[in-house]
Amino acid sequence: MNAIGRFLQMVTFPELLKGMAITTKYLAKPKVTESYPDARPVLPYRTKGRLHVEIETCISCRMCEKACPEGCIRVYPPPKEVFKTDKRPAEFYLNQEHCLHCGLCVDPCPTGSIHHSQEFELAVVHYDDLLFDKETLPYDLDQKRFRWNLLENVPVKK
Amino acid sequence: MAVETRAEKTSPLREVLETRQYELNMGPQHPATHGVYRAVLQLDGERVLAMESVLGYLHRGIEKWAEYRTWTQATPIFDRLDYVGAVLNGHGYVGAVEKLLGVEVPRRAQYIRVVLGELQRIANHLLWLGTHALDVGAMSMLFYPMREREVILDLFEAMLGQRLLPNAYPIGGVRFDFPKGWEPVCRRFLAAFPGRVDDYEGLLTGNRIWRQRTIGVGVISAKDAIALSLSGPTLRGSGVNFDVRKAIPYSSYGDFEFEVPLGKNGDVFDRYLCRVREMRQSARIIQQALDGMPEGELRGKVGKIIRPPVGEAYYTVEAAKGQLGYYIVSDGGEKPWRVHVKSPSFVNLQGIETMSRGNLIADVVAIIGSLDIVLGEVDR
Amino acid sequence: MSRLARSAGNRGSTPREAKRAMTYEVLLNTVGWPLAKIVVLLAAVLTVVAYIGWFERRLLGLFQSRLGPNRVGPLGLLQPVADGLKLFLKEDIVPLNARPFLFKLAPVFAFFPAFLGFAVVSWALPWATPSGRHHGFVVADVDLGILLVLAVSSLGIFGIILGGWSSGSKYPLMGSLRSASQMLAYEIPLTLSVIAVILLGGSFRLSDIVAAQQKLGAYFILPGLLAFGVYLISAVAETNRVPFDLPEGESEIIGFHTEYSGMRFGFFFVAEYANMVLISVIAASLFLGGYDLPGVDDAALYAAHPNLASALGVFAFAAKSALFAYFYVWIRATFPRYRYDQLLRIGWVVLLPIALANVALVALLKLWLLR
Repeated sequence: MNAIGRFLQMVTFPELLKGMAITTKYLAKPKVTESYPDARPVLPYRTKGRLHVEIETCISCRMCEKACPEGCIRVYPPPKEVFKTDKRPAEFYLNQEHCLHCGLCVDPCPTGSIHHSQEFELAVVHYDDLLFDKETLPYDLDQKRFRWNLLENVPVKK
Repeated sequence: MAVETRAEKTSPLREVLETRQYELNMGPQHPATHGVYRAVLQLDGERVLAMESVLGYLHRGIEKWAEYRTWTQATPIFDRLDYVGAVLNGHGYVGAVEKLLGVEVPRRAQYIRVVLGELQRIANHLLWLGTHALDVGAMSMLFYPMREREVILDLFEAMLGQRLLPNAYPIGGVRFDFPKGWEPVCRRFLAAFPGRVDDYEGLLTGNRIWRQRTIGVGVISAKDAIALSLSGPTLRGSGVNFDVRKAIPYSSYGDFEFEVPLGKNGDVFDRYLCRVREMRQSARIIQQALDGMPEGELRGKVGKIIRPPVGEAYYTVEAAKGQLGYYIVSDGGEKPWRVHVKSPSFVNLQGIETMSRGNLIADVVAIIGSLDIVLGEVDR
Repeated sequence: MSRLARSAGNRGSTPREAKRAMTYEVLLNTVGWPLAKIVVLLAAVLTVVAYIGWFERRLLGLFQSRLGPNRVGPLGLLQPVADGLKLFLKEDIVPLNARPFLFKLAPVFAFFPAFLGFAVVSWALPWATPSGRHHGFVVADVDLGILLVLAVSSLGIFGIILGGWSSGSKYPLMGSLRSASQMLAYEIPLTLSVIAVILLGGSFRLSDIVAAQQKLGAYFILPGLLAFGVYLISAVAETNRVPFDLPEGESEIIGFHTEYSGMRFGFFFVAEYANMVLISVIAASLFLGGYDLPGVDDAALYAAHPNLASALGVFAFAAKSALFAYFYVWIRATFPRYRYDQLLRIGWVVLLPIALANVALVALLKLWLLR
């Protein structure tokens, strides 16, 4: 009996037909492809995209520089006389080329001046386009209205 | 040596039809070696007589790299060992440092680590299933698991900020709690997931072509597997019941009820079944962890600058590929004196020569797929 | 003496002019019309071959929860054009180890036999011109048509073997060796299954086989079900498609065309798809009644509206062939690949005895039932 059953199974190949039924099932189901450049993805708030730095609130404490494992941040505090009144850095270099997008620089920042943005299309034509200084540092003006809550990593209205 | 039948040995044509063994380089640029792995095969026709692995094409010096960073700074680089199972890699390193520091990780953080770790295990096994099936020729099976993996990666992005190399945990706990709306999405995924696994099994497990290609191929006995120090599903496929989550429970794994799927024959098919069943078990663990999620702190008491006391620690987790161990030595400074990684892919790859001797080239491809190696972890 | 010559004679012209008109007539019938038909057929087949690639990729995508090529043109319909352009513009590399002459010759060897078989396929009932002439929808309705298809399609293997061997590299050589043994193992069951149909139809001519199916009132898939199964499996193996795509087996040995690039690779590619179209077309005319319109009395329709019947016949034929193409893509979307030794075992141990037994079975059937 068992042998007959096995023979029948061999001849009628139910398992192959089952596989073909599964592929047909997915033929009829909606597709998961996202037509990317046309349809923009909605990224969650915690996405670690390009680093954004707000120079206006930076106090030149160099915590991010110490935290960065790749050494892609360099902060130059202003001269001492200026520092007493204006703590904004004299120069701030960011080398996006080496950035791991690990978020270690965001954790220790006391003022929430540095954070990752949702900007994810980071391809450039030339390496130089990935080097930023104080003037060229990206900062999203829309996000300026928010302060960064470190624990929740969510924005809080100022 | 070539396997010759008696008729072949006594054949008068033997002198005339002289055949020669030859050497074939499989890789480092071969689509089925899953990266830059090179195998030098000694072939008689298509039969493999001997095989030699050549490694090191993806060596990045990660262990040395870590010695030049502080304990905290070194966390993101260990994601890059096994870049399809990054969260579990991070867990191993962070756990080792916590052990050396003597930090108690809060229970909620442990549960979150379990949830993320098991999700990562599922994601890894899905990628493995897709590529392994593609190696054996089932093309659609690459895309169906990828679709589910995409949901998991989206969950990672919402929770950790990145999809592949999220730098998941800081030393001492977890960085963030679940964001709003994360848990329902995860539960919806878990509810749909077993049905999807049924579909994969419907396409492969019963399929006669798949069975013919995998059953009895790449056999390694339990004794050999233990002798070669294999771990993970590669070891369990041979019927050895060893899972770090059960044997040395870490991160509250003792709280959860799950089975460790075991194989019998130690062939490609058994390893395949082990991994597929493991995905179901992982989904079960996540369900339990989400249901029993305790309240509380997210991070233990860790200073801003981490200086572990002089000493050494060994911490091991069950990574997606097997037992992943970190041996760390501290000289009391801000930087690790030594970090050594026992990476499961590297160890499991040792089994390949035993498994593929006497098989055909097509089997070697299936065996490499069944080992689930990631060259980032093999070469480090 | 045709109408044209007669009318020339009726006009009372000189014998020389009548002779010239006859020569013209003969030339037109032996060279002109066949040439026109060949051009039209080649254009049609090349278009179909280009779009069968699009069809396959698109359908595979839909099977796999994705969309497939959809960027170039509406619905991705210009994708074959883009692919062809890419292949033409790519650098043509001849490896150092290769034997250049044979290396360059091999794609041609694979390319042309793939298209020769289309010559004997009868696409529809003859087209009637207003002047009362009938043009068959066939380039050469030779009475050994199906044998010619089998013979010519076996020639394509030389291109593959040559290409693999002359590349001077191990992977292509293995691919071509696999291809050769696969060809040997599956050509015989394929031929035997076709022989069963020939027994049923009583002729080697494809149009006769279709006519026999019309006369019988049932397609040969019913009496020749076993032959159909054997043909289907062997055809997949013959065209090197999943689950028998060992000569290519892109994840094991990369294939006999590993060393080819640019349009030389394109030739192999086109040849493969042309073979797939040919084998679908042959299957449709052998087993599914070719251009016979299902559920319609073809003879009556043809008597009333010959051209309508012809045009509908072409569509019916195309639809039936598309069924096979769909089936092949479906198979490709579902199954893993067999191993070399398993493949040969199926060919020699399973299919060959079945095909042989089937020939005897069909012969008995023909003797007793279908006389």
